[in-house]
Amino acid sequence: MLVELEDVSKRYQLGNLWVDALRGINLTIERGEFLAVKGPSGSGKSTLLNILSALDHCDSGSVEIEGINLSALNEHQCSLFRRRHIGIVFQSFNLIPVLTALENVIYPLTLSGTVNAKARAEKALEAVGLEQLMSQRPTQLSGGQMQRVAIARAIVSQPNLILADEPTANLDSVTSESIMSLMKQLNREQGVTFVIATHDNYVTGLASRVITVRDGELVEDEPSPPFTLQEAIA
Amino acid sequence: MGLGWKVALLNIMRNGRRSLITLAAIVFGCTSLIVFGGFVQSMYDGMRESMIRSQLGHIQIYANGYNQYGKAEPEKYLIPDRDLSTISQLIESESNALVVAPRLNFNGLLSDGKQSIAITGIGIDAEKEVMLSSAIRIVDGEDLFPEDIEAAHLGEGLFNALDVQVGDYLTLLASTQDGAINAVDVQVMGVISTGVKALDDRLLRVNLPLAQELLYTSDITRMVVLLDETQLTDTAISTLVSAFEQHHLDLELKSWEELAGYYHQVVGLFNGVFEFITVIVLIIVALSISNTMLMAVMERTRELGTIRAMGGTPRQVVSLILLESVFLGLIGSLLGLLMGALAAKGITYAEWMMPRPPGSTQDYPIRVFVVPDILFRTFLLGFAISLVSSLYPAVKASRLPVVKALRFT
Repeated sequence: MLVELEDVSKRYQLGNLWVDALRGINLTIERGEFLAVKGPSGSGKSTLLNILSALDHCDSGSVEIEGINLSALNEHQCSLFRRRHIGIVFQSFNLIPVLTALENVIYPLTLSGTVNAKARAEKALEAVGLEQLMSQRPTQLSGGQMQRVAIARAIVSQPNLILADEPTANLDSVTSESIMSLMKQLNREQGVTFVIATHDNYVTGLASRVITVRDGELVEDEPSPPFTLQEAIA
Repeated sequence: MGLGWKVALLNIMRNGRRSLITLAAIVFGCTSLIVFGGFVQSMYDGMRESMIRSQLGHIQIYANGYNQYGKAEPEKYLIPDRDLSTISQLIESESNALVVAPRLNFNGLLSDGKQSIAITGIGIDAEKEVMLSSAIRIVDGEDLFPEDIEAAHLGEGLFNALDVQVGDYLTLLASTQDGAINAVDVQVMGVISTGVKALDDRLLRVNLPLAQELLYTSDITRMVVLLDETQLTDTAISTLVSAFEQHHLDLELKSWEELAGYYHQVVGLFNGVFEFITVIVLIIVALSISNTMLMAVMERTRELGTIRAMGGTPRQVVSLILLESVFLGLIGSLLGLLMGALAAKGITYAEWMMPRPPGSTQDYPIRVFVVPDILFRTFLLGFAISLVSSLYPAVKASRLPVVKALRFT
């Protein structure tokens, strides 16, 4: 088991009001899953991803990823945890504008002082089909290309879990399909676990498992056949 | 070059105009400190050399006890005539002395027939004093020469207070060593300015033989030594003290530093002013840099959040912001040194005149020295203030809640 959430709750204060973003979430995620989290806006999808990525802490319950209890980590340890175990893909790509595509992918490796960073980054960019655009700045790339760079940046540290928050929301349908195919391919070929928050039915259609969050509660969990079997059928 | 350095450098270039304003603040601060510091140093230097070359010399040698008791009983603390040649030979052989000049000091009254004015008189060796008193300016008349037995130089203020012209005769009265009143006639040969008004109002210079005749003595008050370089003073004093002891000469020595009380007061005052101005300049520069870095942090909130999300630790975010400050500080301080040195040279070259300072009788051209110590200190200050003023923005950036930072628009 890669991820285990037990009775996880999270509250936010909005002015004088307290909002229950997550209420008693219980969830396990196995290695190699391609999991979609769906639900309306404000349902708690992003909060769930923030807690899974150690960007935020839950108020109660426990979160364990690869056997590590995230509630026990301080800020510094959370950073190290993300560096080693998590890749994040953002809706708005969040590339560093002054760096080239290659440098954007190298950057997380330099944070951890990884050797052969350049070679690994080139390999990651090749994996997302951008070997010809390594020296381009984000402003010279299309939305789909930028998201590919962001995916390469997420996989370059070889994490076991990649979290993507609405990765196709800023892309047209053709590009969205291309990006999702890429993620699916990485999931299939490299065994990376994906958790994707989305409104997009196309994305949920590709997922091996879909969970639905509404008003902070996990209201639906639709397990699909094991990934390899699904692929075999495809 | 690591990627962190590149990111920092590119971030500086990303907001070129704002970075230029920050650099301008650092450059302005450094230039101000270098120019003002160099100006103050040139004032110290000018005042010191003026005092040395118009009154004090580098070293003054007295009979032992003169400085403690000589004012009450000057006749008991004179350097005997019999020792003068030995002392002169020792000074010339043991130090890098340019000039060794005897002086006989006295107080008296100078009368033009209508009024009498109290004077501070000095009997000098006119030939030697030409070099020793090179900073003394002859306002009117001619130099003193040894053969002009009755000739006298009057300070500008003293000359103006008397009803007298150059070439006129005046009567000089003083007490001899025995306490008797003696008088001699002196001819006004010239009018001089030392640059110090209080002295110019009372100063009278005559040839040493005339002063000795007036005081009825062949001794002198002091030997004044002018060296090649002011920096040699301490070494020369220690050498001469040993030499005089070996020859059983009961003398005491004073350096120009011990005699120039006014100089030290001015230096103390201006050092205080300089430090105060330094603090003000640094505060202005610090506020400017801090403001720039805070804006940079705010604009890049989402980017910094992304770095944290990728696994960047709070310390790495602090380092990233401080690296930018390192670049700004280095570039700004180096440019500041260059601009400061150029401004100093330019101002000196322009020879703008400054109004005369209090107690002085002469205007003087602005000179701004390029002082290595000041350059080094200014570089360090410019660099350090860049770092220090970025600490708060850097720490603030590192403490941004990552989730909020990622949502920042």
